[in-house]
Amino acid sequence: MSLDNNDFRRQTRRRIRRHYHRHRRRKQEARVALVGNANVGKSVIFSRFTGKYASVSNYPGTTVEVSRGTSIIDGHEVEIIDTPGISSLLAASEDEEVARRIILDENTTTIVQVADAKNLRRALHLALQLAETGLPQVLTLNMMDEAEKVGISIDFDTLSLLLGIPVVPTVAIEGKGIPSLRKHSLNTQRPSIKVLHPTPIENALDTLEEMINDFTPYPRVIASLILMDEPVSKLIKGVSIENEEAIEQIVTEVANSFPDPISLVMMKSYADKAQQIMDIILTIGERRTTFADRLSDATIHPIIGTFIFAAVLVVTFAFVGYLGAGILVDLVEGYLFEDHINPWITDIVEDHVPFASVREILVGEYGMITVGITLAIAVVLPIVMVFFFTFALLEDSGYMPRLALMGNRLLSKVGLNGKAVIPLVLGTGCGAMAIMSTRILETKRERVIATLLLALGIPCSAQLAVIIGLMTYISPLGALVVFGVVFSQLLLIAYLANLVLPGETSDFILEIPPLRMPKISNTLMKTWIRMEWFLTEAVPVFLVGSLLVSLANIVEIGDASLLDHIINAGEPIVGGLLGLPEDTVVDLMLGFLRKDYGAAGFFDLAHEGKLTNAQLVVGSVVLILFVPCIAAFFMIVKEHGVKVALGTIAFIIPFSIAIGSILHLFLNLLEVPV
Amino acid sequence: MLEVLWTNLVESDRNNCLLDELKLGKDQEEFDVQAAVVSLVKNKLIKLSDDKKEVSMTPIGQELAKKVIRRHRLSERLFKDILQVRNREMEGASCRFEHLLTPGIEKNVCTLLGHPTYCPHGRPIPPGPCCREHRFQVESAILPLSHIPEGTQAKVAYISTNKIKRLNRLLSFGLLPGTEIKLEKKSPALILKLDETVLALEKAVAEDIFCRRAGGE
Repeated sequence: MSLDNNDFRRQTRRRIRRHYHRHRRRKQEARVALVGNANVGKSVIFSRFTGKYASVSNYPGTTVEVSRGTSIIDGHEVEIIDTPGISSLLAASEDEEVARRIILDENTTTIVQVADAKNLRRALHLALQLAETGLPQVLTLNMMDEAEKVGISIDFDTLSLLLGIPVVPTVAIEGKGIPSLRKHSLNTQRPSIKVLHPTPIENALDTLEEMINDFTPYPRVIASLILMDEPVSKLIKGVSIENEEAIEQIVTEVANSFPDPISLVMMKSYADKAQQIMDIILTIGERRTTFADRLSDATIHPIIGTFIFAAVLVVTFAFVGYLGAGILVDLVEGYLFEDHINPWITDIVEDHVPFASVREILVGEYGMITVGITLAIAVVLPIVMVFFFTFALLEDSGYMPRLALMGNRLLSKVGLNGKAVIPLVLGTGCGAMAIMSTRILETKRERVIATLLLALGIPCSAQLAVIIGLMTYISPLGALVVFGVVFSQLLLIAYLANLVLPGETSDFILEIPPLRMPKISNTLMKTWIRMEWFLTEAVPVFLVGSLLVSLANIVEIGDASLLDHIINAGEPIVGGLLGLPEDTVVDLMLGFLRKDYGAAGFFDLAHEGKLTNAQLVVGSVVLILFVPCIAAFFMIVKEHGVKVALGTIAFIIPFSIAIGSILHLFLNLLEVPV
Repeated sequence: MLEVLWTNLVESDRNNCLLDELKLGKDQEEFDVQAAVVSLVKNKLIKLSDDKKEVSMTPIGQELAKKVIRRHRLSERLFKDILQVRNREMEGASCRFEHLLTPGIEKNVCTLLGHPTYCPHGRPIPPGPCCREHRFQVESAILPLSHIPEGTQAKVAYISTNKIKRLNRLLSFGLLPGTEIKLEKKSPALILKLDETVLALEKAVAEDIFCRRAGGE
């Protein structure tokens, strides 16, 4: 199953060649689209086909990027596309639209529909709609083991006969049924099953089909979508204005013939047919309550579930803090870098590199190697790695949607959909990734609020771990103050943002998948993919950061270095308002480059005993609230545009300093024993 | 006018009241009180005191008033709950609609609404014969999902919402009229089971899904 280098190179070359050819002439080559409801195992099947992995998570933050790969089946080269989960062709969200577009606009030659065998009704509902495309189709009933456990048995042969396409049972995660499925993907059988709607609708469909025949290879599907009130311009291009008006008229006429919305009437036709089929081929035996059922009930129980929620969060942070920040960092930074690598490199540089400034840049006080790389790989990476692993575990076990469910009560009070729990929790791992995953929220308004909260006060895991380290120098009361202040500010800002920003929160309608035992190899693979992302994004930033600071240290303006000037400029604010020593100005600024970079500087000072407890408390609060790191900043620009990004910064800087100042005043005046 | 009398007399537990007290013709044109009184007396629906200042209802009058009130308040419920008409419009519309409710239609509307006992203003709806029958039958009332007890097996009757996005999402999960579901929990959100799919919904969404109980637990 592993891909060796030669395979990879060959496939890449072929892919590049084919991409080139595609734009020269339309080749009749097999392009298989993997389609199906969310959480049915599409990505597992994708990896079984292509050997190259895609994330198995079912939330769109990572799967909305469509995965493509190739597979060699019976000597033929087949392109495989993994689509986001879709419940019906009437796309109810952005990723469903993407999935629909892939099916309809990307020269798909075969549809392999992946279904959850124990939720056959929903699969059939979709299958009947897909059948109307007229494309060759294969239906795979995945997770057969789970279906058997709940007493479901299916007559595959009759089902295949009724639908007119091959039906393949599989247990993808164990590889069962996969060879058969692969072979059937070359199938050219088109479905023979047809669904008839009430006569007025059928008539309208015929008329519409004639009108749009020239504009799409799937007239019936598009006509159905038009009748269900999807805007014509979104579906097909090139329709004249008169035609669009005529189409509009037909839609209105039909709509008036029925008391219910047409989408409901048409969906009912599919549902009724699906029921007919189910009655023939499905038998349900005794269903026993399994342990998984009871555990699942516990996770969503209002009281027990809340405990589980809190426990999960606590364990995650303990795991990340203890294993990641503690053991691993000590190992990698302390032993590997500090004792061995850094001294060795420092020696080499000092012996061989001629210019003092270059030496300084490389291994000096803010050296790219001694500080930049060391921080990135020795301090941040181990922590983030542990975090990604824990998060992937939560996804694979099916716990993630339950997290959203438990969080919905609280979040809906500040105008956020419960799904926002996911980016917010992800933010404690890596803010930049979390901001990207705000895509799972349905309205722009919610995405902006979630992003604001992430940028403002959700500390990323590296920063969090270091700050927890800082906490060891202050009393429990101090730690409470820090987190209390940050949390209350988050709630305040969320509440205000909810009031100020116009718009509505999206409906909370979420599917809760069954709890599953995660397959560790999957989880590790996911962790690896995220780590790769992190390495390619973070390490350069650390290098640039330390380079800039080293330069600022070397470059002289007047009689002091640039760095000294900056420190002096920031002194009144940092020293006066916040009560922190002047060295910390650099750390706060460095916090922009990499949040943990800033926190680590604080940590060193604390370690050397140069900070009072009150200073640590103020420092921690300001560090957490201060501007997001540069990677997160670029992500905000990418997701929401430059204006929103700059606006966020413009708000955060004065806000965090204000809160820090108030806190400083408060602590000193009342002489709180932190 | 009978309606107003009902409100002032029967619901306030009085036998008679002063003519002047009655607030008549609130949003209609000038209400000819005298003409109305004369007509009602002629039909033996109300009785006037000797000094022509106080008025009370006859038993027949009370019966008639009860029916009128019942139809009016049922109409209000219909417009408010099912058709989701705004309050201002509802008042006017239900006033006129009540005249259309012949006994047969009235029974159907009452059953559809699940034999409601209060109008949107909180005033009681006098029960009709169908309500009394219903008490002895298996409950087949239609209720929003948010009002159905935990652990009930139910069948979706209809989805009443003007939010297309919401409707489409519910449809795509398979929540259609006729779908059988089981309401597992009501907190922290409404959890329902559809075949082997478990869905979590917030209360606002569940209020739009009207279901018929199908056996229970």
